[in-house]
Amino acid sequence: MPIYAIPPLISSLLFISLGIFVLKQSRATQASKLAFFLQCLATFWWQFTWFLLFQIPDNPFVHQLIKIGYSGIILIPATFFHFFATLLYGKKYLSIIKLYYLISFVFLTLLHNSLLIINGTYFNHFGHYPKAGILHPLYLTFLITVVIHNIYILYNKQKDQQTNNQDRNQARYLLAGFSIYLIAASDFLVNYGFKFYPIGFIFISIYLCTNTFAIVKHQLMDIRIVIQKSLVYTSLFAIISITYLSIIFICESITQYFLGYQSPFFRFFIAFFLGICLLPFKTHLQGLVNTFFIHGNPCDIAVQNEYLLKEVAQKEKFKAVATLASGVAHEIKNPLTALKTFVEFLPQKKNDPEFMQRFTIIAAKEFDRMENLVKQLLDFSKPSPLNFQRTNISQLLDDVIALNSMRIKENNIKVIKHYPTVTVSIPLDQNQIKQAFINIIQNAIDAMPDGGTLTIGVRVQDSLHPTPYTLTPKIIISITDTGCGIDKEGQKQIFEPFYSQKSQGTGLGLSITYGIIQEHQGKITVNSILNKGTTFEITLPYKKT
Amino acid sequence: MSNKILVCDDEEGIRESLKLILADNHELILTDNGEQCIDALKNNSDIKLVLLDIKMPKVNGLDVLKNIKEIYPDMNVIIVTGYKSVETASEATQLGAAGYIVKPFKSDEILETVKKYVS
Repeated sequence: MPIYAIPPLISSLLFISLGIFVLKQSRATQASKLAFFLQCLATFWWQFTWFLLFQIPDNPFVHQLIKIGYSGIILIPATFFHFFATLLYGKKYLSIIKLYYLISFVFLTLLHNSLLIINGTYFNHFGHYPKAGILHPLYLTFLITVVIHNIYILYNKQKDQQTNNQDRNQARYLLAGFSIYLIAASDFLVNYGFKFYPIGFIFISIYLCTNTFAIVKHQLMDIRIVIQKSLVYTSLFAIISITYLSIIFICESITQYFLGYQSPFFRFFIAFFLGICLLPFKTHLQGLVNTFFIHGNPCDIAVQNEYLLKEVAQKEKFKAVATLASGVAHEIKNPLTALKTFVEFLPQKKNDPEFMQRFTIIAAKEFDRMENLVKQLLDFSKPSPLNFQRTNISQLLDDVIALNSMRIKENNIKVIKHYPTVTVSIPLDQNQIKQAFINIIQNAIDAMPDGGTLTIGVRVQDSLHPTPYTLTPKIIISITDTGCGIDKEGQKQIFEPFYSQKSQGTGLGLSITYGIIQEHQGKITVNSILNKGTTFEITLPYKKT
Repeated sequence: MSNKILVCDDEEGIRESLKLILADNHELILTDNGEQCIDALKNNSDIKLVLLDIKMPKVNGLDVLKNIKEIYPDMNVIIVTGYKSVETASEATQLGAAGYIVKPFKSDEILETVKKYVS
C-alpha cells in the first residue's frame, strides 16, 4: 500500500467509528447525535474514497471514484451547520438546514451529471486529485457562506447573555474546534493546481476526536481543556508537517540532482530530527494558545473547569431535591386538604351522623396514606444495610405470590410459573428483594382489575456460549401481566420518584424497587404495550458466595 | 338558572371536601377521571362550571382541559391543584382555564371563586 494512502484510510476509519460510537453511547439528544453522525459520515465518505484513489494511481474508475468522493465534500458544509444548529438551538434553524441540504443536492446533481464542478484530474506524486471545474468557485462561495453562518450562530450563542454558562462554553469551544477544521480547506488549493500532498486529514481528525471525546465523556461540557490541548497539538502538527514537507522537498531535489535517486532513509532521518527539535516548542505553544485563545494559564483553566463541573453537579442536585419536594408536597397536600375541610365543618356538623361517618372514614384513610408516604420516604432515603443470605429465587417468588393470593383471587388472575428445574440460589437480602418483587407484582395485579394472566419466569443465562460481555452468568426474572400497559412516556418515567399512574399510588414503589436492584448490582427494565400488558425484567448476577 | 358544577378529581378526599363545601347550594356531579368528566359534560348540557384537578392518572388534567375547550369553548373551567408552579398556571390559562386554586384550599376561597361563575 502506498504511504500516501494510509492517512486518509486511518482518518476515514476513525471518523466512521467515532460517528457510530457517539450514535450509540452519547447522552446528547437523538437529533444532535444523528447530526453528528451525518457530519462523520460525510467526512468518512470523502477520506475513504481518497484512500482508494491514492492507492491505485492508474485506477480505471478514477473519474467515477473522484465524483463519489467529492459527494462527501459537497455535503460537509450542510452537515456541519446541521450539527451546530441542532446541538445549540434545537429545531430553530430547521428550515435553513433543509435549504443548505437542498443547495448541496443541486451541487451533487451538477457534480454527477456535468463537468462544471470537477473537470478531470491532476496527477501528482501521491496520485490523482480532482481538478476544479468552472462552477467549483460557486461551490466554494456556498461553503464560505455556510462557514460564515456557522461562525455567526456559534459567536452569537457564546455572546448571548441569556444563554447559560454551559451552552456558552459549548459554543465557544465548538467555534475554536471549527477553526481547526477550517485549516483543512487548504486541500482546495490542490484542486486548483497547487502541487502538495493534501494534509487536511490532520486537522479534521483532531477536530473530530476532541469533539467526540467531549460529547461522550462530558456532554460537550468539559470541552475547554480538550480544545485547548487540540489547539496546541494542531499548531504543532501544522508546523511539523509544513517544515517536514518543505525539507523533504528540498532534500529530495538535492539527492535527486546529485545522486540521481531519492532515499527513504532521508525521510526517516528528517522525521526523527524534527520530532526531537520541535518537542520543546510544545510548552511555548501551549503558553501562546493560553494567552490568545483561552485567557488563562493551565491552572486557571483547571480551576474554572472544576467550578463548571461543580455548578452542573449542584444544579442536578437541586433539580432532584426540587422534584422530590414537589412530589412530597403534592402527596401531602391532598390528604391535608380533605382533613382541613372536614375539620373546618366539624363544629357546625358535629351532630350530623352522616357527616361524622364520612369524616371517620376519610380521616382514617388519609392518615393511613400519610403514614404510608412517610414510611416509603424513609425506605427511599435511607435504605437499611443489606443482609445477604443464600436464597432460593423460585421459593422467594412463591412467597410473594402467596402474600398476594387474596387479591390475585379477587381479580380473577391466572398465575403461570416458568421456573428452572434445578434450584437456583444466590446470596440476596431476602427482605429487600421480597419488597422489590411485591412492588412489581402488586402493580401487575392493579393493572388487571378484570382478570388476566400473571406470568413469572426465572431463567439462568449461563456461560455456555461466553462472549466478552457475558462472562458472568446471570439470573433473569421476568414478571409479565396482561393488564392495561404503560405508554412510551410513562415507561421513561416509571422508575422516577413520585411518578404514578394509579390514583392512590405514591409513585415511590418502583423507585424503591429500582434502588434495591441496583444495590444488588442488578438491572431492571420495563417493556410494555398499551392495552396488552407489561413485562418487568430483573437481571441479577449469579454469585456462588 | 342552573347552578350545576362538575368536579373532576381522582382523590376521594378532595371530591368529598368539595361536596361538603358546595353541596348545600349547588348541584354537583362528581367524577374521578378525564373520560368520566367529558362524558358527564356530554350528558348534562346545563353544567355551568368545571373544577378540574391536574395530576390524575392516565389522562392529565391539562389534556382534559384542552379536550373540554375543543368541545365547549365557552365552558368555565377552574383548575384545582397541588402544584403551585407558574408554568402550569400559565399553561392552564393559555389553554383557557378561568381560574386556578391551589390545594390546600379554604372553603371561602372555593365559594368565592364559584360565585363568580354560578349563581
